[in-house]
Amino acid sequence: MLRYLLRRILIAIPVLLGILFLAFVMTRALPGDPLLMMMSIEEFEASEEFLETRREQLGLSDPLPVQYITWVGEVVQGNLGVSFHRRANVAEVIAGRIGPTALLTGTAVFMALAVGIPTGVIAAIRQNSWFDYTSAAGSMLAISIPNFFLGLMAIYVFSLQLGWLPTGGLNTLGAEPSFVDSLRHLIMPAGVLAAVLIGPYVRYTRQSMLDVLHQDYITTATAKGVKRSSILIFHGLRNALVPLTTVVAIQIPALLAGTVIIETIFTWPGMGQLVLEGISRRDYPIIVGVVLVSAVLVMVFNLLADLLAAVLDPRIRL
Amino acid sequence: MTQRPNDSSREPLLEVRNLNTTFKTETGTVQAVRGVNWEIYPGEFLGVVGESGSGKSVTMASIMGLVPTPPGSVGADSVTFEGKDLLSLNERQMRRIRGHEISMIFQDPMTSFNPVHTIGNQISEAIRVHDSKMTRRAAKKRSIELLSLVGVPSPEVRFAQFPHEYSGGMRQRAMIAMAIANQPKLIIADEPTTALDVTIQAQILDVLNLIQEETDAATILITHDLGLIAEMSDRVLVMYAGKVVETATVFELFADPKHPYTLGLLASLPRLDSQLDSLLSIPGQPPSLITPPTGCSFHPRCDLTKGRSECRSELPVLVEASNGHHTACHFWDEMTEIAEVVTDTVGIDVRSSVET
Amino acid sequence: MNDERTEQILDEEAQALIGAGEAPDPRGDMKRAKAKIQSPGRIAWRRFLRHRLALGGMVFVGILFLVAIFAEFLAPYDPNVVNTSAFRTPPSSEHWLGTDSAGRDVLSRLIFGARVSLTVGVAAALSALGLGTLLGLLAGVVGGWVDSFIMRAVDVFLSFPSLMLILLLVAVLGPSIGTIVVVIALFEWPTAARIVRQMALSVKETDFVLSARAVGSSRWRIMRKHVAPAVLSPLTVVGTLLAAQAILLEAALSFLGLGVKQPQASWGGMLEEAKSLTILEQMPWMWIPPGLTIAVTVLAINFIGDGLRDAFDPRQQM
Repeated sequence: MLRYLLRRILIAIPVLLGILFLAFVMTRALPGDPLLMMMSIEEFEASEEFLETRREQLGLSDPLPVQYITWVGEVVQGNLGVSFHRRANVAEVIAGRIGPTALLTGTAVFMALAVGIPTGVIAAIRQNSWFDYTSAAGSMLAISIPNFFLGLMAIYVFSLQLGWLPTGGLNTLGAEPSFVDSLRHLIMPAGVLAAVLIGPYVRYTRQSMLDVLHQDYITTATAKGVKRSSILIFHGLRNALVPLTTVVAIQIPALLAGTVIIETIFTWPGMGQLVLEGISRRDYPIIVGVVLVSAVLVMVFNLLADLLAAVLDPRIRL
Repeated sequence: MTQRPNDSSREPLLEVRNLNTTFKTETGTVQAVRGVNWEIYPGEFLGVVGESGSGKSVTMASIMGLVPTPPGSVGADSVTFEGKDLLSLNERQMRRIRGHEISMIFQDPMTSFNPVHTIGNQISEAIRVHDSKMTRRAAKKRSIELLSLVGVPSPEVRFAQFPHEYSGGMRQRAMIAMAIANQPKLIIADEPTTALDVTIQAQILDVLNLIQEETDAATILITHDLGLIAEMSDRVLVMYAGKVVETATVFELFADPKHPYTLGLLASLPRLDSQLDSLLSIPGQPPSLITPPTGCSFHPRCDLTKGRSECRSELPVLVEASNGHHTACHFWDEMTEIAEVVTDTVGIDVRSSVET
Repeated sequence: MNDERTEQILDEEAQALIGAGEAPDPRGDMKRAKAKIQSPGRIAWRRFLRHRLALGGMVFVGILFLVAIFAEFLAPYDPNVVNTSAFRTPPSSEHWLGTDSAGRDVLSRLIFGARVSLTVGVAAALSALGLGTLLGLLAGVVGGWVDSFIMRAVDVFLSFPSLMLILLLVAVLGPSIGTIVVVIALFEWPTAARIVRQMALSVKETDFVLSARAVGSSRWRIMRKHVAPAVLSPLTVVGTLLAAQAILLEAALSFLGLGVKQPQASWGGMLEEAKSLTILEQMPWMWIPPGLTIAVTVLAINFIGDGLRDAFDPRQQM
């Protein structure tokens, strides 16, 4: 187990270095002072002279490969540079944004699983029924509607026409923070974000379930006299969940990409909104920072998905 | 081997009358089982033999209600088990039969256990679904006893292990333990040794024999291997193209086969006392069950036909050739003659293959 | 990320697209049926025709291409002409879908917008396929460290929230159709590369290629003669799905203001106006038609892709 973790982290290192390399190339290609990527806000506020010494220290006149190594060293220490627009350390800005994004994406995944798994299971049990066809068409529709259009429609219908839900934000401004208020703000963006995920979840649950239901051990269980419903859950779904963990992991990049759009539409103060703001303000340290943090998050969740799969399936050895 | 009495005055444990099973496929309807009749008596060991696709497994799956419908469809005049017509039972009543009165042992122990649950839990499940008062602890105790009975070493440890930690032979033992968990009256073993190494096969057959003696459950052994039948069975059912073509006691069948297909099977048995190149195989392919041959379905491959039109046009029914020996061949009385021809070709007497 | 199970799932997807997998027959004994022999091409075509949704999608996309080609003749107005006397007018007999904030005819912009979407869809899909095919062939045929390097790059790209990097690149390079095509191709090639590599590997092992090598055919000749034809059908499917994805991505970028430059009409760009709550609430004619058009177009293309997948997949029964 420990060995597995170590091995995985070792494998992740070249990938991370690759991503860092891409980001580094961009920082050099981008207009703006690369110094911003490497200093802290205290230094940013300091005098011009100090910046010159710092520039020397950071070796910004060294050859590029040396600079790359220096920069990677800074990043590893958690120094992602400074946002000149926000006048703050990038790491701190991002840290403040991870919470809302985590809440949004976590809720979206939960909603998508809560809808997708039962739908996929029923579609598999009633293969080729109207339910199966409808759910297939529905998931196809869900991945075809642009999420920004779906988001706008949701705001139009539920906020502007029906007046049930707020149009955006984390809480009602000025109001006493309450769970219900947060929930009312959360439900629409999370639901729209979930729509992209539901399609693949339904498809894979259905396929996985169909595969499992054709296995010999299902016949064995039936021949033992086990109830159909118990078979479907204890032998069917239980086994079908194993590949689903991987599917959820595969979807994480798409999920993070979705947050850029959704957070913008619903004025949700998360990383997606931050990165877009960074782009419009040409605040490159912020962009590179978010890209790096997302990449690390994707890796971490992939690892978690693998661990979960290993818990679910004893045949998977770590 | 012990010959158990085949006393026809007794009530059969299971009686199958005119069972038909079909499957709808893209290319047509497959008539997998076409009107079979047979019965098994309490405590009897019945061998069912035939090529793959002859309908032996489907017959058993049909009785157990394991045929997926659709695409399958099962019909019969009656399938009577201890006075109950199995086909008229609802799902709930059928569940009480499965694994409780009749249990099954499947061909491939590698795939017949759920890989994500422990062997112990799967045996316990079989016990607990039929006894709601059974506690988890008691079911575990019983499962360990069963594992020990079928010869799984250190059953306490093995109880908590997953299928992939078992060898093939051990898994099949565990499968047998699961099958006998509720002391069924009938055990159906569907090619239980086909997927195993030869050395393991013998051990599994020993276990089967042992548990049959212990529980006195009637046992059906499905196989394509006549050799196994010879060792284990009291009576044999030969199936071909979804029909029963011959049924007899094992001794009669080997000594005096009354159907040319049975003779073909006997002749193709590998034997220690014959040379390899003299191994006979039945010419041709098993027929398509979407459009089975008219008349006798074996006629395209049969030496006995000699171009006679009855074989092509008339469906042979099972007739009693001698006491308890039934065959579905128009010209079964010519079998003795043919058997001698085969004997000449092979160079040995095929009918002497039963060791006594 | 060297996630073996992810690879397995992706490879299975690739397998399904290639159609290399053989039908697993759980109860061979029960389902023995001799299939009539038909040429695979004919079967595929027949299956595709049976897929009514796919056929419908094809008709729709066909019409859309005609609309794009003959936009000048079909559009009632010049899509870019600012009409100061008709700001934000609701649909009327004069302007069937009303006018936008600059007084431009919405229907005309919708018609001209088809050009952008279809151009981006086709060009991006073809470029991504081209790049993917090239790298996949390289990986599969050359093997060795080239293979490892390319496949590691595939892992990086697949496990990455590419939208964020795409945003960054577009911000740096400046928004235009060309940029969008290049950027999409740059990030969407891995799927095609995986499939081509897998196919190349499996073809490499077959007898006829081994004998071709024995005769002394060069690697590239082998690829051209044997590998290329085999990957054509799965690549068609991938290409179709990529086109749908590219159209969605272009729309999203334009919606965010990072796509096609105004005043050029693009569907996503038309939706940008709906970021204003006033327009969203009171002028639905400005954003619902382009939103629906994107959704229907993407849906139609996805249906085609699905139909093609079914048609090429020998595992699936009709």
